[in-house]
Amino acid sequence: MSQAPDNQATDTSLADRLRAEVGMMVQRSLKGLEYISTPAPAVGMTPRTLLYRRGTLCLYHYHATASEIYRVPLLFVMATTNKAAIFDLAKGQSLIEFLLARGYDVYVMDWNAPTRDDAHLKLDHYVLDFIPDCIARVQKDSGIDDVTLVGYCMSGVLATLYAALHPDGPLKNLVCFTTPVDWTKMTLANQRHFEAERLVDANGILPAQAVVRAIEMQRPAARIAGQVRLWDNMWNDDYVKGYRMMARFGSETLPLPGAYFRQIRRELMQKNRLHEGTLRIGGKLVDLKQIQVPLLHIIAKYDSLVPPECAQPLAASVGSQDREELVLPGGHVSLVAGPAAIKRMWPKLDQWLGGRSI
Amino acid sequence: MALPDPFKLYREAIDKFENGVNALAARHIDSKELGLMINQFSKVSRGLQHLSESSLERMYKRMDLPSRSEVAALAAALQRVEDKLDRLLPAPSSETIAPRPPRTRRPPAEAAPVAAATRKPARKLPAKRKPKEGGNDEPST
Repeated sequence: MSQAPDNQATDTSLADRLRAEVGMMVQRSLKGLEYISTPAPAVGMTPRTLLYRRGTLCLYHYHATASEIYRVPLLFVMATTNKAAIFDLAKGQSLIEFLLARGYDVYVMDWNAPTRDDAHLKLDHYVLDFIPDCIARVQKDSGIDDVTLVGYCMSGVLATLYAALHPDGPLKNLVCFTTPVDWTKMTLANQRHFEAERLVDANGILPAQAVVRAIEMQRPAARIAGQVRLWDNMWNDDYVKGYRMMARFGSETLPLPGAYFRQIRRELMQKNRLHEGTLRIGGKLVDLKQIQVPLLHIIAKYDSLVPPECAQPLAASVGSQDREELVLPGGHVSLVAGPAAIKRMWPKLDQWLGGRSI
Repeated sequence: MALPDPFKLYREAIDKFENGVNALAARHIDSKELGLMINQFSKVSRGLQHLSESSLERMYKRMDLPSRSEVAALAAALQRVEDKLDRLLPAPSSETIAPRPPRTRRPPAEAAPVAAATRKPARKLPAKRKPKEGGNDEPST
């Protein structure tokens, strides 16, 4: 007899759940129609000025929103496979907006899709030409000699190579997000039987679709499971907005210059030269010990693309006295954008940068 | 006994499916068989792509329309002209349209010890802007 109240509670609870599910089902149908008939939300809307453009490179300066700013400007280098919109998704979900509000002067190196004319670009061009050129322009525009370089994923590698090859400055700090160093620990790099270099097209460019497929190969069920979850959450405006912003960011994946891709494949993926200390850029040996500036490396605990063990050797290899490695819960993208990033990564970044930006 | 929640079960099944398939892919990503299979797949898809591109190109020619590669070449040429114009024209400065607050911000109190420990003498490039009275170097509009 004592079971009766429990059963009654369960029945009521189940009835409530059913009622809620039916309500959500109706909402899904209505919102589903809205989803199909409306464009994806715009990303990258924080006011900015294009300072410089050259082929695949664009340098932007974001407009300050604080009444006073830190002395040292930040220069973000975007990963070469994507647009910098990941740092500036939407109001309230933009890392750049957050940093501006916290008083940082923010510059961003963004990329356009490379054309046939850019097919020859290699790591050397990014590290010894694009980054130094933009740093010089940031110095001129800001009137400040010191610059903090921030790199995410592959651009973290570019920023690291730059820092190692320019130990005499003008770098003030180096911040990397989920940056691969020991490429033998990267699942994607372990597929040695696939002739990836054949994917480079007649124009000498690795098509964006090939980049997307390579990334999806790691988590082949993610797309279909994501779409099922989207339908399940179609009633939830916040979820749909977040999904659409991420989908839009993903759809803007960029092609890669063929020479750059071949160099990464051979030198980093196959020979692991960055970790082995045998990588040469512009004829110079890259020695991570040459990096003496303060380093912050933020790693995503559940990153399937750049697992923690692939990224962790960075902080261990540099010569900086002031170095910090943070492993935060999250995946490759959710580390920098989305609700978890707002709660966890952004405040940590601000806390670390503040004292080092004066 | 409490009845199982079918909606919860369904959502758990999706999670299990995703994790299972992804884990399986991760285990076999370095296998020779998978590499050969992807090679085969990419060969076939490249062949199909070539076939469709060449037939589309023939069709565009007959219709007297530019192909995608011709439009892309045109866009690239336009981009080169824009780049050259950018180099010829004076560099745009955000100074004219964006506010330039003073660089006097200090970190909140808790970060101050770090700041003191790592601070080095400020290196400044020769001043190029005249600061406004009161220390605010925001440009006048």
